[in-house]
Amino acid sequence: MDKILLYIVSGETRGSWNRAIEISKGLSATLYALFVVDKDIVRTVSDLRKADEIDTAIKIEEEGWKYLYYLEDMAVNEGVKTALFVEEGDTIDILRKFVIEKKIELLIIGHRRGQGIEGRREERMVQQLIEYVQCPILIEKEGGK
Amino acid sequence: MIEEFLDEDLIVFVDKVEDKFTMIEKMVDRALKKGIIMTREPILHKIREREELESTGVIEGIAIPHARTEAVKGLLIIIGVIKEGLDFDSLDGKPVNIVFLIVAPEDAKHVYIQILARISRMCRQEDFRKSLLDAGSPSQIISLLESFDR
Repeated sequence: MDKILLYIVSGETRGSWNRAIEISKGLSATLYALFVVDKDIVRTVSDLRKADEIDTAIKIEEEGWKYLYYLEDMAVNEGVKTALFVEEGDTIDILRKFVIEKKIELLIIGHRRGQGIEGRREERMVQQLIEYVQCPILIEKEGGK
Repeated sequence: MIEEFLDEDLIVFVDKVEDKFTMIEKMVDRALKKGIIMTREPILHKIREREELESTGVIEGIAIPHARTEAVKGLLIIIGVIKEGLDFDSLDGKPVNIVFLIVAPEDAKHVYIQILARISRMCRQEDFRKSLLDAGSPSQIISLLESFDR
């Protein structure tokens, strides 16, 4: 296996980061890490905070880059080769295309049992990933529950 | 945030250069000449080590090689402009015209990641990239970075 993709949900899914580094190291694979500035999330956050959508997208993207560079820092210490990506749009659509274009062989995603709107959104996203993404998926349960 | 680390003397313009390590050496030498660093070898070694593992952070013609090392006292941003473009072993195969070399001490991880995130985010903006490529002087580059740094 040469290419593993970690989809970075947030900084709270670090169990999946560790798992992705461990597997990539074990298989000498390149770890692709992707953060998506999801349009729906930008809209929701902007509405909630009564903030401008462009400013919100900038903040979310920068946060995403921070996650990516933290991950890279961890991976480099383990001698794992990484490639970092940020994309904008619909998460499922981007992941589906990314897996095909980059010939990804395994997708790793962290999953928290959330509550409320956020929890339901994450549940739905995982369901859609299983349905639409054309590669094996490893879902890391976060928080040990 | 970025402006406190910018210095016109740390912006290197070249027409062309043979390879990415030669460019990085030129950039590190600029900091050495200015007396910001006392030695260049530990920095070059760390950058080479990182670049051999992966071609660090290339976004649409802009490369962001980066590393942490005790050879620097504070965070350092050195900017390189290569008129004719340079092969940087990027995943997309596109030549690189702008290089942001970022080096920080080992214990400055937080600010190092903040700066990397800010520059990466700015580099994804097409108008920023275009303006950066059109900039003809160090002062123009600094003004541009300051105006996009929000």
